[in-house]
Amino acid sequence: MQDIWIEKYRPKILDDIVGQNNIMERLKAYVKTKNVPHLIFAGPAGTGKTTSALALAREIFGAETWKQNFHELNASDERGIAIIRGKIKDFARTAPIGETKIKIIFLDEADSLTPDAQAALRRTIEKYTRICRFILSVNYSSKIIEPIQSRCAVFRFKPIKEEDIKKYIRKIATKEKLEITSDGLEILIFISRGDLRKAINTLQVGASINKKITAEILYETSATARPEDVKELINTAIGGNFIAARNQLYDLLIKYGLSGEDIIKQIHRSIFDLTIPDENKVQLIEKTGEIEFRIVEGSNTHIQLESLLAQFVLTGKTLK
Amino acid sequence: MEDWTDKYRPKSLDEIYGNERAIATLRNWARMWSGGNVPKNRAIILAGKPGIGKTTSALALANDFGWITLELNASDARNATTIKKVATSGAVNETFNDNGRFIPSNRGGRKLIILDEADNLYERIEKSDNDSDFSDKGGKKAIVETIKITNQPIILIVNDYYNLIKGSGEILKQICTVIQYHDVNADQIVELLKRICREENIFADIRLLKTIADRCKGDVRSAINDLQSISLNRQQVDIQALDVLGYRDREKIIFDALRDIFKTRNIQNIKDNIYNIDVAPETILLWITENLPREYIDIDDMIKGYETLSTADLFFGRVFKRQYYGLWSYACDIMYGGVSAAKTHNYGNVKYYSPTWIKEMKKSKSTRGIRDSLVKKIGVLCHNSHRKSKEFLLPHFKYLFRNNTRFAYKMKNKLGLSESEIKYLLGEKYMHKMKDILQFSERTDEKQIEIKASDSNLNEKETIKEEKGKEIKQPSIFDF
Repeated sequence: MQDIWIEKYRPKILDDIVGQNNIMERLKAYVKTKNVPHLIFAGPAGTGKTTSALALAREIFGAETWKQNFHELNASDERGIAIIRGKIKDFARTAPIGETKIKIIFLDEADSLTPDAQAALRRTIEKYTRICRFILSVNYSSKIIEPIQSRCAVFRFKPIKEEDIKKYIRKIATKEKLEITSDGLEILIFISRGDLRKAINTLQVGASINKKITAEILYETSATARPEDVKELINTAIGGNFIAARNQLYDLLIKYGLSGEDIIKQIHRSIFDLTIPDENKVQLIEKTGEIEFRIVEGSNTHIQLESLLAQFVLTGKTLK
Repeated sequence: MEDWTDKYRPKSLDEIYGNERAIATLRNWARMWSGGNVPKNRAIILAGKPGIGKTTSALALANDFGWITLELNASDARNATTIKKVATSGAVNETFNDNGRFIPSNRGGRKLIILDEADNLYERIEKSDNDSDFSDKGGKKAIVETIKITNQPIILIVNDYYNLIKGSGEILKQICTVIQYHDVNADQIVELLKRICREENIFADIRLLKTIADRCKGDVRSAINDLQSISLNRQQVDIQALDVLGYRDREKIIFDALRDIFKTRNIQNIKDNIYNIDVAPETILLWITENLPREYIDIDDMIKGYETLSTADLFFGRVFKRQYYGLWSYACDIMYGGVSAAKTHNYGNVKYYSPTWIKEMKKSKSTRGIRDSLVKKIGVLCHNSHRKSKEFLLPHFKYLFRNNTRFAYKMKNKLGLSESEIKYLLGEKYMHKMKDILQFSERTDEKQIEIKASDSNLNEKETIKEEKGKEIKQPSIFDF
C-alpha cells in the first residue's frame, strides 16, 4: 500500500500486457528486428497504450539505455507548435545512444495537437525518419491529419474484456493479500467499463479502507474519492437558485480546478439522467453544444457556463 | 523639475512614515551584522504593496549603518546566471566603498544586496526554464544558493510574497525573515503632505490633503505624486484642483456605470458615459456578470442578459486570441447595449457586489499554485497529462494519502512533497495526520528495513521463477 498501484502493477514487458494479444504479437515482431515503423496507438483510456509504448521501448533498447533513447511528451500539457519546433526537434535530431540505430518519441494525447502543430509534426517525422520513430497515442485516430496517418501503422486498442480485467485484479489482490467478494469484482468491472487503470485505482482506494473488498466498500469509496458532481450543480439550477448554482460552479472551476470543457462534457452526459421531457432535453443539449463552442472561442469560461446555467433555471421554471 | 518622491525620500529609517514595527525588526536584523557577525538569517524579505516604503527602508537602512548598496532589479537581471554572477560575487567578496577604499567586513564595512522586484524576477526565470520535468528550479536556486553562501546582508523586495515562495521557492521561508509592510494610515500621510507643502511654500486646503490621503489607499508614493501634479506652479491649491486627477476610486465609478446599464435604456447615453471612464471593458464585463442575476430578477430578462454577455465574451475571446482589436468596440456595445435592452421591467434598488469570481480567484491563488505543482508531479510519475492527472488521479491520490500514513510517507519522499503540498492533500479534516507523516521516518526506521528485507525476498523468488521461463530478462512486473 505504499505505492500508486497503477504504477506498481504497470506491466514492464509486452508479454504481461493483457487484453491486446494481437497487437502484442505484432509489437513483439518489431522487437525481434530491433526496429519499428512510426506508430499510432488509438483507443480509449486505460487499455494499455502508454504501457505498450514503455514496454516496447524497454525491450527494443534494453534496460540500460531505454531511458536515453525514449522520450515521453504529453501533447495536452504543451500543445501548439512550440513543442514541435522545440523539444521534439531537439530530441529527434540527436543521435541514438548505444547500439541501437533509432530512438523513439512517444507523444501522448497527440489528438490534442492543433492542426497547425500536426502539420509541423509531419515535416519533423519526415525529416528525421532515419533515426527517430514516433508513437502517437490518441483516443481516435481520425483526429490525426491524413498525411501523418498514412506514414504510421495504426493499432486499435480495444476496451479490455471482463475476464482479462478480472484476472489482473485477482493477481493484484493476491499480491496485496486482499480478499475480493464476487459482487465486489462485478462492481469493479461495472465501474471500470474496460478501463483497467480505473479498475486498479478504484481497487486501491477501496483497499485503503478494508482488506476485504466488497461491493459496498467500492461504492462508498469511489463516490467519496471523486470531486463534487456536476449533477448537484444542475439540480441546484433546475431548482431555481441561480446564485447558489453559480457559487457551486465557481467551486468546481476554482477549488477543484476542473476545466470548462470537462464540466460541460459532464453536463452534457447528465442531461440524459434528468427527469424532464425529451423535448426539453434536446433543447438543453443544443444550448450546451453552442456553449461548448463559445468556451473554445470566448474569453471567460465561467461567463459562458453561467449563461448555460441560466438556461437550466428557465427549464426548471417552465416545468413547475 | 525634481521628482518629489525622490526629493522627500527619507534618508534614515527614523524619517519613514508608518510601518514602525516592520522598521524595528529590520533595524534589529541589521544590528546582528555588526562586528563581523553573520546572523542565522542572512536575508530579509520585505513584502507589501507598492508605494509604502519597502525600497526606501532598504536604502535608508544602508545609509544609517554606513553600508554600501548593490541593487539588482528585474530590468537588470533576467536570468539565473546573471543573478548568480552579480549577487554571489557581491555576496562572497569583500567590500570596497565608493571612494575605492577597502573596508573588511569584520570592521563593519558591509555591502547590502537589494534584489528589488524579486517576485517578477522569478516569473521570467521560470518561463525560460521549462526543461525539467518536476520544477523550474533555475532562478529560485540561484537566489537560494546566493542566500546560503552570502557573507553580506541581502534584502529581497516583493509585492507578491506568495509568488516568491511558491513551489521550490518554499525553502526561502526557512532561510529568510519575512517582514510584511502594511498600508500607511491616512493621518500619517496627511502629516507628510503638510510637511511637503511647508517646504515647498504651498498653501493647501486641509480637505484636499485629506482627500488625497484617503484616495491613495495607503500608497504614499502615489499621494506625493498626486500632490505634486496638482500643485505644480501654484502657490495655493484647493479641493477643486483634484478634478484634473484620474479618479482612483474605481468602485464608485463602476457602480455608477452599472446603474446606467441596469436602470436606463438610452444606449447612446450609456455608451458615452462608459467610454469616458477609466476601467477596462473586460473588468466591467465581470462586474455586469456578477450583478446581472441580482438585478434582473425576472428569469427571462436574466437569460436575455446572459445571452448577450455570452456573445460579448465571444467577441472578447476573438479580440485576445487573434489580437484583432477592431472587434473590441463590438464587444463593448453588445455588452452594454445588450444587457440594457434585455430588461422588460424596472427593478427596485439592489445592492451591487464586486465580482465573486475575482475574489475567489484571489483567495485561492496559493492553493491553486500548490495543486498545480502536485498535479504535475503525479502526472510525471503516472505518465499522464496534467489535465488527466487533475481530474482522475488527484482525487484518488488524496484519498490514499489521507487514509494511509505509509503511502503518504513514501509519496512525500518519492515526489519531494513540500509541507504546503502535504497540507493541501490532507485538508483541514485530516490535518492531525501531518505530524504522523513527518515523523514517520524516525519512528519506523527499523520497520522499514524489515519491509525491505521481506520485499527483496519476494522479488528474488520471482526473478528466479521468471528467469527460467524467459529469454529476455526484464525486471518482474511487480518490481518497483
